[in-house]
Amino acid sequence: MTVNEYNSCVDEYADSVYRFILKNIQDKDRTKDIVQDTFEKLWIKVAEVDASKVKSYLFTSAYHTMIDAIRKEKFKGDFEMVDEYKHVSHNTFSDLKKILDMALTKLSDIQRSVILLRDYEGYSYDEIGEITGLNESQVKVYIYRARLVLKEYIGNLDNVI
Amino acid sequence: MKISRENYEAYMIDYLDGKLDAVAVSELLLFLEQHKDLKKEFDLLGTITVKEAGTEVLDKSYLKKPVYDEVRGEFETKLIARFEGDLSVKEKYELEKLFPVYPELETEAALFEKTKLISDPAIFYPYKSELKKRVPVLQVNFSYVWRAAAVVAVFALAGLLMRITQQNESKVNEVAINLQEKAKVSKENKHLFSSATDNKVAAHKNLVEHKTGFSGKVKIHPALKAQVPFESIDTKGAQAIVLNNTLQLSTNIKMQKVNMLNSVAVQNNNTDQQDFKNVKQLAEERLQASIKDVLVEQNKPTSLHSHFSFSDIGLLALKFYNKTTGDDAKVVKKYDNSGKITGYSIVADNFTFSTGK
Repeated sequence: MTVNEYNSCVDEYADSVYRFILKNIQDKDRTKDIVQDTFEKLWIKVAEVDASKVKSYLFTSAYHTMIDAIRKEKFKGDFEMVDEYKHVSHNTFSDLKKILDMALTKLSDIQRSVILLRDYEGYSYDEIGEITGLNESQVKVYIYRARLVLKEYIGNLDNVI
Repeated sequence: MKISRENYEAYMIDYLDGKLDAVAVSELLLFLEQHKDLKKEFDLLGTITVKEAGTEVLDKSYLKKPVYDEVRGEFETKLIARFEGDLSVKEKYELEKLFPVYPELETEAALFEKTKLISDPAIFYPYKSELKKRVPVLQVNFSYVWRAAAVVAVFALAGLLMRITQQNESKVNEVAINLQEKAKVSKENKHLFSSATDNKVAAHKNLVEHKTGFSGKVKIHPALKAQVPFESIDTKGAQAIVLNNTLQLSTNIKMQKVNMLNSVAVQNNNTDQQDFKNVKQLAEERLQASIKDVLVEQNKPTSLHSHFSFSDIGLLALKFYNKTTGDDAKVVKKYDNSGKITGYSIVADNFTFSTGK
């Protein structure tokens, strides 16, 4: 990948990587650091990374950088020990997006990551598995569970205008 | 209605149920007497009795459908699979067929549709410029092999342009030397012209001698003598006439030569009075006038490959460099005020390499 291709990648993917990380950790400063680290890693490997696979490389790198940061700083609680059924809400909201943003915080880190990759970037189970290091079945299970949590959080259609 | 073979069964059943009146009974019995085969059937029918229904209860539970809450868990998985696009067409059809049966199912399906997360374009990374890298002059982070290849390509191109310039230079020198030689010839011919003039004087002297009868020694220039067979002329007068004619002829020839040399001299801008540098400049101008584009027109294949000119190779090298580095280097021609090509430059984003003026 050339320098120009690298710079094009910045234009094309920096926003989506930023959104992905920000939605996961809800911290702009840390997100900025992770995005910078991610692109620095890409720059170091710029000669080795195939331009056609750079998006996957960036998300994989960003995801693992984020996980490292979370683990190192204990940014969140235990990574996979969130009870997805205890956050059921029956509140009335006027904005579905706000509901979903709040519902996202109720997911486990891994659930949140996989469903963001699924919905934001449209990745397949297999691709998400490559990024997160999970197998396809695990990804599917996490996504199904995340959907249930989100659905339960939304409550019922009467609560959502 | 009269009893017949078509309706006798109804009469028989009514009789057994006690629903026939006396008239009908007598008509039935008379009919049976008249039809012995039917009477046997009638007697057999009379022996049949029906037991009273027992108290056994039919288990209808297996016919009933479960209420939604009992199958909710099963359907949730299917609804998520439907939302994720994991169901086959048939599975999806079978599930949606149940929507009218279980309205809750459709409601839940609508809820799952709302769990789709939408990326917010208003959230963007504001520090992209910090992430971007500038394209350095030679500091490119690709593999060493490619870096080396790119550098070699650039130097090859530079060398090529230098060689083209040197070839151009050598052509100029060649023309200059030719002109200088011509200038020398011009000087020699001027000497001959002088000799011819002397001969003309001598010939005139000879003619005067002939006309006046003066007999003196006449010198004939060897060059003139070579052109005219003096020995074949017998009489002095004839010799003089021939000599005169010959002189005239010789003078014409010499004058033509002189004119030609003068023309050369004019063309050469009095080259015999110019130093070599001026001659070289003149030659260069003439060469430039005759070649419009040295790269394309004059430097046809001389090496490497018979089908490629140096300019082709140079452009290939440049394309290779651009491909390797991602740069956009170009060859730019340089012109003087009169529009003549004076040199070439390789111009990239971060460096320029020039040859010529």
